[in-house]
Amino acid sequence: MRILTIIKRVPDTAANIRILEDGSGIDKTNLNYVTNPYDEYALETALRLKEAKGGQLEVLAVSDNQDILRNALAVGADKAYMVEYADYDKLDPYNLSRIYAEVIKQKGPYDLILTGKVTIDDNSYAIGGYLAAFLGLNYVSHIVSAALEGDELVVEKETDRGSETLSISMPAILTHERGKYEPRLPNLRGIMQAKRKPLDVLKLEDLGITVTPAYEIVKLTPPPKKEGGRILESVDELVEVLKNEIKVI
Amino acid sequence: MAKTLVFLEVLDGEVRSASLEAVGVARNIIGGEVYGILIGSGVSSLKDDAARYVDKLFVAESDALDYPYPLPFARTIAGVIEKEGVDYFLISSTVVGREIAPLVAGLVDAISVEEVTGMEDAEVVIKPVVSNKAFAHIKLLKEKKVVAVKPKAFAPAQAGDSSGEIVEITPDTDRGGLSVKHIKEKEKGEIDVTEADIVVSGGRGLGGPEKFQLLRELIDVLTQVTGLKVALGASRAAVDAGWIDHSHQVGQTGKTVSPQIYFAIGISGAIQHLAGMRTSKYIIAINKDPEAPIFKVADYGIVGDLNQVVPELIEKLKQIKKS
Ligand SMILES: Cc1cc2nc3c(=O)[nH]c(=O)nc-3n(C[C@H](O)[C@H](O)[C@H](O)COP(=O)(O)OP(=O)(O)OC[C@H]3O[C@@H](n4cnc5c(N)ncnc54)[C@H](O)[C@@H]3O)c2cc1C
Ligand SMILES: Nc1ncnc2c1ncn2[C@@H]1O[C@H](COP(=O)(O)O)[C@@H](O)[C@H]1O
Repeated sequence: MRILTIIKRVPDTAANIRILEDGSGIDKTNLNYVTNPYDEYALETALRLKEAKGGQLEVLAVSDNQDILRNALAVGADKAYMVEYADYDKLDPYNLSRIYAEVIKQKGPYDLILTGKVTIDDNSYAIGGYLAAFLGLNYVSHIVSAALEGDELVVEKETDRGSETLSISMPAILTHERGKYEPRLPNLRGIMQAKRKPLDVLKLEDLGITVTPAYEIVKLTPPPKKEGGRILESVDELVEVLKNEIKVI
Repeated sequence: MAKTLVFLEVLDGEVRSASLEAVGVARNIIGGEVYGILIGSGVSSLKDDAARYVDKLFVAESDALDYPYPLPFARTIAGVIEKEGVDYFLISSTVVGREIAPLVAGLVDAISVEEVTGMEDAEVVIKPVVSNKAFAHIKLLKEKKVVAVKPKAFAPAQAGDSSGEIVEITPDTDRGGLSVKHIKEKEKGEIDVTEADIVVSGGRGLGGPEKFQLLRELIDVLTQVTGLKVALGASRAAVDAGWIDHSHQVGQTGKTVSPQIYFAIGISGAIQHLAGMRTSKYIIAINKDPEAPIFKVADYGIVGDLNQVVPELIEKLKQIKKS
């Protein structure tokens, strides 16, 4: 089985974010980056499938930096692709998906593609659906686990309807919700091995892609400021607040 | 004149209120003609009611679509967009909506933006980014636009005096290799945190799963005295401890909510939790530690033991109910 996991670098979830004065972006000095948490779950599921069934696991990112790909190789991926792009965090999801789709066309075919349901920085849920449309793949989003039962790929989802168990035929693309199991961390042996695993750097020109922006971020504005409010002395006071200030009772 | 198509999502035999909010966006912000689409098995029974909200309603009824299979749903929508020359497609940013939106966008060559909480106008949408730590104002540059609007962010449309024309269409029924093996339905009547007016959330401070029963009691009485939709939320610590299902988790790796009131009970206010709830209109924190970071974002706080504060609050609210 050939599996591809698409991952992205995002600011650390614990980071304090400062918006630049002119609203043109966020202040990136001293910002730590991590792998998008949902991509880590996607990678964990991919590793489990590979361990169960055998095969090759590849990882792909558009980035200016190889860290997260090396990490993925260290936990067990076999090969990595990095599409070099300095402004990768400004790419809109439409163009990102076009780039991924082109890499998949050139390096594939894959039986299964996995990625996070959302990247926590741009908060766009768009990659999985775009790729399914661009590549004509079967598709399901927001999964919490996937496993092979014989040749059948069985996935679980938690939705507004309840817990769903679905079966999907490959080739398919799945996007991952927070998983049912925790992603593994790299160990020293894995990190050493990762250094010898192939990491191909690709350029947009070589892929034959030009980017015409599909959206433009005009500005960033801060969320409404919360001042830190009033400490109430009693439950009676809280009831008064609900009555007279928030006016819900 | 703009033509907007709105997907009317059906859950538990009803059009979701979040879909009517999407119709509201079409009416109040985009303007022009507003079309709706109902897809699935049994949706015909909803058509007369749904038609009161739109100028034209497409009804794609099929027994084969007894689950929101993304591929046939998206192909059916894309078919209408192309045939009718629709410029704008709106859907609510629920699990189903976020699954279908980018697929439709890919099929009709549109830009797709999810989790939209505001709009400057039809071209510039506003949404939270970097874990709710900033809002991006995004100008949509492609001719065709797909926008998924966050539940509770916009006012719902009101039913009109006259009904729109109803057009029955034949949906695509190729399920795209997907089949349903089993669905364990969640408890009836349980409201999702993203659709609630009030969220009552509990964290590690509850000390154990049985304390969620206390929060459920608070939810019941709040529902009765306010007449609003009240839902149960949780921090990741409570979910990881196995006290409550992940579907209730609020935060970075849970759901993002912005209800009118958010109760944080026994929750410290870690940055990843705040990511999911800091845009709530009023935050009320109950925590025994006066230094807990949640008090920095709370509009109102009570420093105290939840085991005393919550039962007392339930009692006082019950008295109000009686009087
Ligand atoms: C990548 C990543 C993603 C994450 N995603 C999320 C997420 O989506 N959602 C989330 O919530 N967290 C998330 N976290 C975890 C987050 O960092 C915190 O660990 C978590 O929110 C803590 O939960 P808590 O506030 O319930 O527990 P704690 O931090 O342990 O706080 C418990 C609070 O209860 C109070 N308390 C205790 N007893 C009582 C009592 N009797 N009466 C009143 N108060 C009492 C304590 O004073 C304390 O403030 C994430 C972390 C990471 C690294
Ligand atoms: N610049 C990027 N590089 C690599 N992967 C990305 C990038 N942007 C998005 N992704 C992937 O696409 C998934 C969904 O992204 P999005 O729809 O942009 O939130 C993420 O979970 C990532 O796996």
